[in-house]
Amino acid sequence: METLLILLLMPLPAFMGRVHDPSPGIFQSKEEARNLECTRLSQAEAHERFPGQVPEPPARGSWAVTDALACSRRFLRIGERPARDEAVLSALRQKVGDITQTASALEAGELTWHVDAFYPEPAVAAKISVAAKTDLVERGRKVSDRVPVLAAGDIAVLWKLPPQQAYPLACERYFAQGVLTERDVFLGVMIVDPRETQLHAGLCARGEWRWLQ
Amino acid sequence: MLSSGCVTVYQPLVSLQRPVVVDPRIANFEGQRMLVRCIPGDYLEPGDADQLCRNVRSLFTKQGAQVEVEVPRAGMSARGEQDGPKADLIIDLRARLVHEESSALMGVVSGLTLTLVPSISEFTFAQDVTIRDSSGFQLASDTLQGRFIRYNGIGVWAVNSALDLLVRSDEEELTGDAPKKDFSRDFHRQLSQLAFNAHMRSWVMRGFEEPPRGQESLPSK
Repeated sequence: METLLILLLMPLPAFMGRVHDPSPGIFQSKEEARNLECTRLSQAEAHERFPGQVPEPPARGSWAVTDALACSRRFLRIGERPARDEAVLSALRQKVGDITQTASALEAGELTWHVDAFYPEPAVAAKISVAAKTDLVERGRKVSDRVPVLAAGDIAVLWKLPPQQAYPLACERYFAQGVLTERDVFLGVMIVDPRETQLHAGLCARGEWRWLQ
Repeated sequence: MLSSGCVTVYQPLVSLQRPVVVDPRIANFEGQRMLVRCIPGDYLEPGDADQLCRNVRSLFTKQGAQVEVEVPRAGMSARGEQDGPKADLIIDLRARLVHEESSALMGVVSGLTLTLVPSISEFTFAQDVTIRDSSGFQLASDTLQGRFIRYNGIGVWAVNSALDLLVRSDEEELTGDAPKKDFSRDFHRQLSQLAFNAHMRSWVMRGFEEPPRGQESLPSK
């Protein structure tokens, strides 16, 4: 009996040394492990981000392990919100930043910017829109809170058109109805296919629509 | 029995566990022409690159694409300018080792205890994916990182086999070919999503027009 107990206890020290390991195993399920976002960092980078936990790398280098695995828990667990919303929102700053950078470079004058997002989920659309407006303000643009709105008849027609026709036509109508003037520019951020996890964008200036990405 | 004394655990790192919308079992790339290039390097032997390319070809063929694969040798492309029509999407795959760790001391102790004390080794690799259109414009790129930890010990294997048999659900199992299946599923889903996003981006940038089609089809290799 004692021998069996000793045999069973022998692997224990090896496991106790891995209690904090984020990989799935005896102490952690696969699902729990998937709710961590882990990335490998060099020791220097890890020391900069976690100075209390990772020592400074030796000045003369070392033969020992010189990197760290840094993990953080997801804000929302996997499955708590739809996959597309999660994919878009978890990288929103970067996605929107790329769009506003391109848009700003194309329209550099003293213009008033209007932004709207076309996304199936209104709460997510609002977040995308606010993120784009904030980013434009940070880039020194004058941004309006007003969302340009077309007449009900226009919307009824546009609703039935595919995106390649709907957005350019909406842009023309904005200009023709005076909703947007030559001093205004409209940035539309949208998804085109429900299966994609990236955002597209187009710019409406002087009645002309241009796809940015 | 001895070969069964190993438990390999897979942990998805950067990007490999990102939420995916596209379903790789349906025809997402109907009529699309793809060129998949698996570029050998320090971490990807030409033989493994061949296998990777075949695997990816099967993934996209099932989704309706016409796929050609290529493993450039010594930095030279095997595909000339005249070899068949231009692909709509060109997918470059490169693999590299990010981290490797094992302890010789633990290996000795493990050997002396007949693997009752397990030896543990691990490695982290990165798969760099770049997708371009036929003109060379970069449509998407990403780095997918995965970590594999290998426990070599009869005790570890026995405990995990018992847990798999008695406690864990099918999705939570760790032994057998679970790590291979889990990694393949993650890799296929991420690659499909990345390619679909690239395809959509290309379509939008072309003004929603389909690329011009010749009568010829991609040669199968």
